[in-house]
Amino acid sequence: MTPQAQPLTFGQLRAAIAKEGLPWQAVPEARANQRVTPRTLGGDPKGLPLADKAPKIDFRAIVDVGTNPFLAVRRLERGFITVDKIQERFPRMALLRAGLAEVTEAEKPPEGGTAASVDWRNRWSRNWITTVRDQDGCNACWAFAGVALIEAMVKIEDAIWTRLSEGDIHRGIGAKCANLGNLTSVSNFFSTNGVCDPACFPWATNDPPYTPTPDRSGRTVRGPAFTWVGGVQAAKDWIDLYGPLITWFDVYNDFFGYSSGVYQRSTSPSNSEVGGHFMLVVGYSDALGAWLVKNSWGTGWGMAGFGWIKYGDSSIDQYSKAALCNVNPDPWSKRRLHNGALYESGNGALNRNLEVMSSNGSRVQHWWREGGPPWTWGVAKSFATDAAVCPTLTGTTFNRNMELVYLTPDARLHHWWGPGDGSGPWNDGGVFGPTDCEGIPGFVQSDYNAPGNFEVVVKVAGGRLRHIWRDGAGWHNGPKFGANIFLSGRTLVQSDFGSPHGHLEVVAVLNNGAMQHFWRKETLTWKAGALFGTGIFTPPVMIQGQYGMVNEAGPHGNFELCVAADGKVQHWWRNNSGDGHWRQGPIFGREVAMVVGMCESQWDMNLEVIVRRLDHKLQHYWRDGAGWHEGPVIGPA
Amino acid sequence: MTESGSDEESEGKVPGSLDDGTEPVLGVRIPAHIELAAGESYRLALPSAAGGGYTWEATPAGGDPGAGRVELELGPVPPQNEQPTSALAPVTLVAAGLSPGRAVWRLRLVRVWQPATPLVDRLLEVVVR
Repeated sequence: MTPQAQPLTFGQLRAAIAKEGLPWQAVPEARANQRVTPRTLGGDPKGLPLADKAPKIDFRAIVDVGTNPFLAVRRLERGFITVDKIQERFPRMALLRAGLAEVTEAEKPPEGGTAASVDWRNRWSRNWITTVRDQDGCNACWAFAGVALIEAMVKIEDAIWTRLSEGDIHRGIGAKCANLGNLTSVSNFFSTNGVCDPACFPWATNDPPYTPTPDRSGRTVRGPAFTWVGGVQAAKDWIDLYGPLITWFDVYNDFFGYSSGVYQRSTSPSNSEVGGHFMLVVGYSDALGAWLVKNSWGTGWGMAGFGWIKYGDSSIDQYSKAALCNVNPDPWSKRRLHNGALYESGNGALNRNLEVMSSNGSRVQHWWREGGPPWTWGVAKSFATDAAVCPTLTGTTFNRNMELVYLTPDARLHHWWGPGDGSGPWNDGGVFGPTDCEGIPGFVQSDYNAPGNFEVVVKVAGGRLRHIWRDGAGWHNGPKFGANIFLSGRTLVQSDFGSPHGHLEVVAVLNNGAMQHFWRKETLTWKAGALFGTGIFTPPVMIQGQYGMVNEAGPHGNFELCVAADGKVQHWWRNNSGDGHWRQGPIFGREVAMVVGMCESQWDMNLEVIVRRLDHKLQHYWRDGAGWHEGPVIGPA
Repeated sequence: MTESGSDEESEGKVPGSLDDGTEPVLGVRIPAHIELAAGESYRLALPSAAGGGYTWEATPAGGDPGAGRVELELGPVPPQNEQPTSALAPVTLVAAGLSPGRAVWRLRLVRVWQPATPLVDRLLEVVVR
């Protein structure tokens, strides 16, 4: 069975599991036979070439504006792109924040000047590198270096912290703990299958059977094959202009004891070579004459897992280095970063189209905006006849489907799903839920089971909230909670609090115009949390973003909440890595009736908001480092 | 000790061996007890975990170290082709019978920066007839 060959519907998945067991169980042997051969574990001449034999990269031909504003300014500074080109893609304020004001007329490349040093752990005052991992006693550096590269590029290109699984690559190609490996096999696996998260298939040292969850195809970061960068100068240019690289390195005994400074191997006869090793190069320093590497031996080695290695030492520059660009993050990596009628999909040339679902009181209208210039909104498919409110949309692990839920005029809930690329058709998932629904539903895919359950929280009669959930057996009406509820909103989030399952968090509006935060731990009991705000009588939208996170491990991204009041939008946020208090941010917008969607986007973690105006049209607002901006009116809701 | 595995040396087969039933280490079963004649030696290819930063250590742990000696030999790393594969130098345990008696050696597969948490920590008894 080819895992990504056909869209996998929920019903098909259930039938497949019942009939044949997990669909992915059949894949590993076939993949192992396909991938693990003496050729790929030995010497593949088409793979990682010697540095001086690598095809020369013509940076002048390949460097474009990109998707990271800081890198775009850097590319401008180096003379690879023009001011006109960069201003087509980024707002001027974003570029000023990224350093545009300091850029002077650049010499044309390659004389434009490679940076004297780069450290992606702290570039432009930010960290872009995920945590140091530990391969333990397994010879799996190749899988660890591959995942480290992919994770870094997702952060650099798409502003998303993601945690991927070394075990998915390692066991996916059929390797065992003691097996050696190379980067061609990693590149082949990634470009063919993507890489999933640890909850889909974890890293383990005991060679478990390769049985990723059946929704793997919808929870994989995807991307092209690796690029090989040969030569020291080209490697520096790549690191300066794109991101980290994977390098080869001969390990000598004294490397084990490295703890600080610049490593240069001892030439003592007693210093034996013990093997070859792959690591991620996350920077360099000409002053030190050294590469900065992220190793996979835990944080106890070197400088908290990192180390400096002298240029050319121990064959570090003998082979070309492996590079990656144009990665495409998955819905699972983005599951907390959007809510309501707005979802940033992986569609479009830049993998970041905005998708919006509106309702005129009956039909659902799908709108979309290309993830780059000219930023115009387009009309996609229209479907359904019973959408009383703008739907709550999400991307799911069912083959990256887009799925939505809305309130019907009959006080029920209605579920629809369609392919993630937006091409349609949209499929009727059926009416469900209690018969006394009164509010706008919150809707997420959670991490209970795999594929994860759907979770819905909606206001029902009697001024209460009700939790409804769907597993493999269908929809279930769960408990009621809360009291004096005036409105539910598009606020349901499965947060990163709690383990192994994140808490469910929701904010509702009370009859007195205050908002109240409710949350459910793994004990499955809903608890009432903080009250905040006054004079609120419209439904809020909430996400858990990434502000407050140091890396993919947290500590915790902030909750960001937008709600309309008095024709404007109030922005609230909760400092989840600090005191946990709700605070009100700026008020923005005009003629706003209701906030219907919100996301933290792949454009440098900008907040994007869709509102329904008093004239029943949709309008886009966004926030970058310079504050909130009024975007275009999209069209009728 | 000879290079060719003559009568005075065995490789892979444990002379008078016993197996204590412990789990293999990275696919290799390591005996807990070997018997040798004085002048005889025994060689066993150990699994390498150098890719994870681990190295083998052999230290005297009891008995008469003068009766039997355990050493670790590091071979050359296989040459790389144009495409490098993560590579490991072969590690060989060499036990030599020196004089009649009993020696106990401790074998550890350990990271030098994590000495308290070895991946493997075994005793090897060498009885020399």
